[in-house]
Amino acid sequence: MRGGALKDQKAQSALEFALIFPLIVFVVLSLVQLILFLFVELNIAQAARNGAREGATTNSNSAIYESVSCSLNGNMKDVIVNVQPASPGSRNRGDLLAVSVEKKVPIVVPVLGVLMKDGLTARYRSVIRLEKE
Amino acid sequence: MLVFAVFLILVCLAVIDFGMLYIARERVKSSADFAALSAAAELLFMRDGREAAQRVASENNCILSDYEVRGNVVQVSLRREVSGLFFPKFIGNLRIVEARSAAEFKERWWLDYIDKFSDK
Repeated sequence: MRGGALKDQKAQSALEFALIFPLIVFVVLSLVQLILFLFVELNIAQAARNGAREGATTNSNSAIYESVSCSLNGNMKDVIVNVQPASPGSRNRGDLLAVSVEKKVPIVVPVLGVLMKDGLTARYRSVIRLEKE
Repeated sequence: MLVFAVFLILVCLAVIDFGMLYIARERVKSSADFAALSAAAELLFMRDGREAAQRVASENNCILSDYEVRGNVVQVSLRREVSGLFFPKFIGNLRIVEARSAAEFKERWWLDYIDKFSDK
């Protein structure tokens, strides 16, 4: 009798484990994805900030791109850099210069990849006053 | 097992909220730096630094909460509200992120003039 009860308990535990385990795996992988997103977001923020600062002191688009690239250790794959106003000639000292950086975050969780078909994108926009004409 | 799963989900939600707070803090810090630099650049030409700081702050989605000029140093404080997704009640005051930055401006032309004068 006691052996049967023990068997039932073991079976119940096994069933609980089978039900909960996929959920735990999903949550842990989501956590990894989340940390990856935060990491990319912080890198992007740093790159946009450095790009804006470089742009403010040089008023050169190539210097902005170079600074962003340098901040991202040259890894410019899936990175979009947008400078506003676009042309250095149309920018005057005292104007606001906006540098936006976008990067697609790789999805490491297969289920999330199906749910988010457009993917995850980290964006950062930094606005600074132009110091050089 | 179920308790562990619930605990993991709560950890996940906490990471989202505190991650958002951390990112917001970084944004406010860099915005404060830029606002202080803008104000210093305007003050160098005897213009209104507060307006420049305010303009940069609002463009970076922040609010200028404090502005102070002491001698050649301008100090600005910027704040930004962060809406916690899951723990808004728990994080309370942490939802307002504030950063302070200072920039020093030097009247270069005047200093250069003094240097030249003293050389002669």
